[in-house]
Amino acid sequence: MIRSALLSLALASFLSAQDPTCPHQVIQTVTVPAETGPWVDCATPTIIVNGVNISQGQKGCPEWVLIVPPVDVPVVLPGSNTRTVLSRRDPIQKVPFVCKTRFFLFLPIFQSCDPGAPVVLGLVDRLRIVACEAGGK
Amino acid sequence: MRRCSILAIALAIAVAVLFGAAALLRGEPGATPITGDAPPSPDLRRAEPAPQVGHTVDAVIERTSVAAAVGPAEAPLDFDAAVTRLVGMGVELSELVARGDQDAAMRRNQDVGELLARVLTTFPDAGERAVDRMTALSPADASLEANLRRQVLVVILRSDLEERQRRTEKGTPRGAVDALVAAILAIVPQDEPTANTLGAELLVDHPYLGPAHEDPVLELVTLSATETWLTQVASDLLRTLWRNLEKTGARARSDLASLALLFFDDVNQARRLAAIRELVRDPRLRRIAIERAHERRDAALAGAIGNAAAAELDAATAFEIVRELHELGGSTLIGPCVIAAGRDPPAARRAYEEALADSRDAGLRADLLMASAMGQDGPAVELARTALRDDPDPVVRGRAMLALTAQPDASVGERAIFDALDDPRSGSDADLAKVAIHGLENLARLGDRNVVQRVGQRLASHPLLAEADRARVRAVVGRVLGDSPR
Repeated sequence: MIRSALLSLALASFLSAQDPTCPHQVIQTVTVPAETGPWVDCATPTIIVNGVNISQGQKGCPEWVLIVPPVDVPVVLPGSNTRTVLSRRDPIQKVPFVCKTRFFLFLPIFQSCDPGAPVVLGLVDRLRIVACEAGGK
Repeated sequence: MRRCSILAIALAIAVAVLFGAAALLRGEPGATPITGDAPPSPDLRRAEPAPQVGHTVDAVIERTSVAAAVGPAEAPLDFDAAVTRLVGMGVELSELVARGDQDAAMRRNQDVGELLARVLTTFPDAGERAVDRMTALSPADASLEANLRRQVLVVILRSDLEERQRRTEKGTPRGAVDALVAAILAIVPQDEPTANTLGAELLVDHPYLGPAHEDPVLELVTLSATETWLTQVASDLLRTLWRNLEKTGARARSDLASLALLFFDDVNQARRLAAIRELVRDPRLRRIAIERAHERRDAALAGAIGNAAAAELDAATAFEIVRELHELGGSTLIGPCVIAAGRDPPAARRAYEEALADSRDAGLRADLLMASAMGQDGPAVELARTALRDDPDPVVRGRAMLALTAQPDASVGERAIFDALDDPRSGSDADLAKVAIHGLENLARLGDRNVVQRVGQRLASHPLLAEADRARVRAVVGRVLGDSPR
């Protein structure tokens, strides 16, 4: 126990002597699921024929889909001797969808859920890892 | 002579069969029903009234055992022939709608409904038959006929499930529902479209899963460790099962909470996601989850807790959790902000205004603002204008500018870009000028040539933009003005 504590202390001292200002960062990249706006009926509502409920029940067409690029988060990793810097900025896009030909029939084959031109609502920083320069940050 | 007589008799019989079948197809009284097991001859197929639609319908009807499926009400019904006939009717419907013949389409639609109702009332095991036929479908087959066949089978399955559930709620034992659900669960791992169509659409957030399905659902969860496309469906099925067990009293809430705590650290992602959704429902357990995320400095866990909170809790509580986690999760929490803002826009605006008043984390403000200003109503526009004017952070102001360029009125976006570029705080901010190029692209989709030209001229002469950025500006302007290819 004491031995391992001493080893840790020695390692920390060594690293800090090596580059005391290095943040020792790596990147955790997190995938962000796409979000959707309210769904509109682009298929069939409930149809009751001869007492039998024939409901397609599909969600239909989203008003929009928000596409968020993967998010890079700096994470401290002692001993890595690296830091993160900005690499580029990727757009957060909102893609509108339109349900064409609204018909309430049995099968939704004649309706299409078509994407429109995307709009950019923000930018997300993408990072990369670089080695800490001697004495640098 | 004798040979000629035999030939004449044979010909007479063939003609009789031909006219009998035609009468049957027209639904004339006195027509003799023909069972659908024997394949129709080419002559019989031609005897069907010529459809007033395109060649696709003919192609499908070629494969339809018509006599079995569309005969008079008393004719025996063949399940597969009926499905094939429904597929053919679906193609016909699409053709009628494409031709704009809505009255005929509505009539045909009623025929479809009636045939479907007959299938469901004739075959008590229609659901199991549909599951069986779905195993024969190839996920790679994207033809119209294959898609229609899949849809027809899903409609049969859904209707049968609903009917069995109705009977169960009236006191019939669960056996019939359980059997069909077990059959569905068995083919969920077949491929991704099947998992989404049958698992996600038919079972998730529905009351069908019960105690009998604990083992198959857990098997799916285990399988999702290797078949990662199953993760979300398996997790949602597990969550649905837990909720159903709780609602019906089959398991106590405390038991499920203990299970969720156990699964919170599970290496299996599906179990873990289901556990997080359970834990955020309870204030005490939610606190444990948030603290663990901070202890581990885990941005992905922060995002997952935020998503669960946005799905399970009221918007104000969800924003409070997002606020606690944002420093850790950063923009992984955009999704929760957007979900909660969509449900309660005023709560989202309040969350941004409170964060601005407290000068909290600019990243949190940027995400709250984006979520709050996504709408196209007056309050959303007003909030974006307030942020553009009052927020001290350039990233937040950039998002406010973009939100305004996403509005349907191009002049709103134009003014936002000019206000941002004229703001003395942005004087030496090359990043904001680059963001404004995205704003120009947003405006370009509206096609207002004058606005695009004015904003383009301003950006093309911006001193802080590099030549490559200016070229991008010129390309956007050229595209809208029509003097440059897309």
